[in-house]
Amino acid sequence: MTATPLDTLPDLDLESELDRPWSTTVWDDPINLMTYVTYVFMDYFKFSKEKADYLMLLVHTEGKATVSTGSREAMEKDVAAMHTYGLWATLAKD
Amino acid sequence: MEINPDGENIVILIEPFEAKILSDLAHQLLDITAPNSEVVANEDPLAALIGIDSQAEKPTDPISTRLFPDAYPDDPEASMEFRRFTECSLRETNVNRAKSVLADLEGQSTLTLHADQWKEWVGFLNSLRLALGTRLEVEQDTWTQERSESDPLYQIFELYNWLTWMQESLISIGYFREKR
Repeated sequence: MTATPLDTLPDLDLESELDRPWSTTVWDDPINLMTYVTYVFMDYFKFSKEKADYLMLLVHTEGKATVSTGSREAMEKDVAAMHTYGLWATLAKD
Repeated sequence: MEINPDGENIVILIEPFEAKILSDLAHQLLDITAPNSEVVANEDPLAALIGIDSQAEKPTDPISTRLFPDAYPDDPEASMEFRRFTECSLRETNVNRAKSVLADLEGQSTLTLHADQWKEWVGFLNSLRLALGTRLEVEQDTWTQERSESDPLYQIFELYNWLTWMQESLISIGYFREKR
């Protein structure tokens, strides 16, 4: 019997395929304040000020940003939370 | 109105006419966000208990559409299902924030907000700004533009700018002050 060397196994990365196929998108809107959006990202996602600012600016300049990825259930929870804060968020399968 | 830090808390000095305006706005927000009483009465009691709105409908007016948006941009059916499970609690959150602000405003000229109350105020002000901003059809950066006093929406515009100042002050003093 020959053992299959671990490094020749196909890299299926099953966990990420199964667990992270959905994402939460926050869309730009003209009403929410930039400081408020940064606060929401820090308060809910526990992002650093730098990361929260970066994503906020991405929303502002690109019109949208992906703020989280994961299972559909987890993304529905994130989207519902964003709606509670008054941010315009949607989820979709990547 | 004055908004100042006081240790961990925020102190708001508020004039009676300002408290009156805010409480009127809170009542209007309650009217917009409170679950439809007729729907609640007809609700399946078990569904109501666990916060499922079996009769949820996609909103038709722009303000409700903004406050209660679709979760799936290209899937109306999934959006409706999401709405059935979440809109009830989203409405409740808005109602609770407005009631909490109304309670804070009750007969006070100096409001001391601790962190929990601060969060309710910031969320409340955000929902109000979404409602008024949608009514004003605010587009990018238009809130800094002047409107003439003869504009029928002038008063709403002034209120919107006041709420923006209030929310911005609460966030910068209450959240980013100690994190800088």
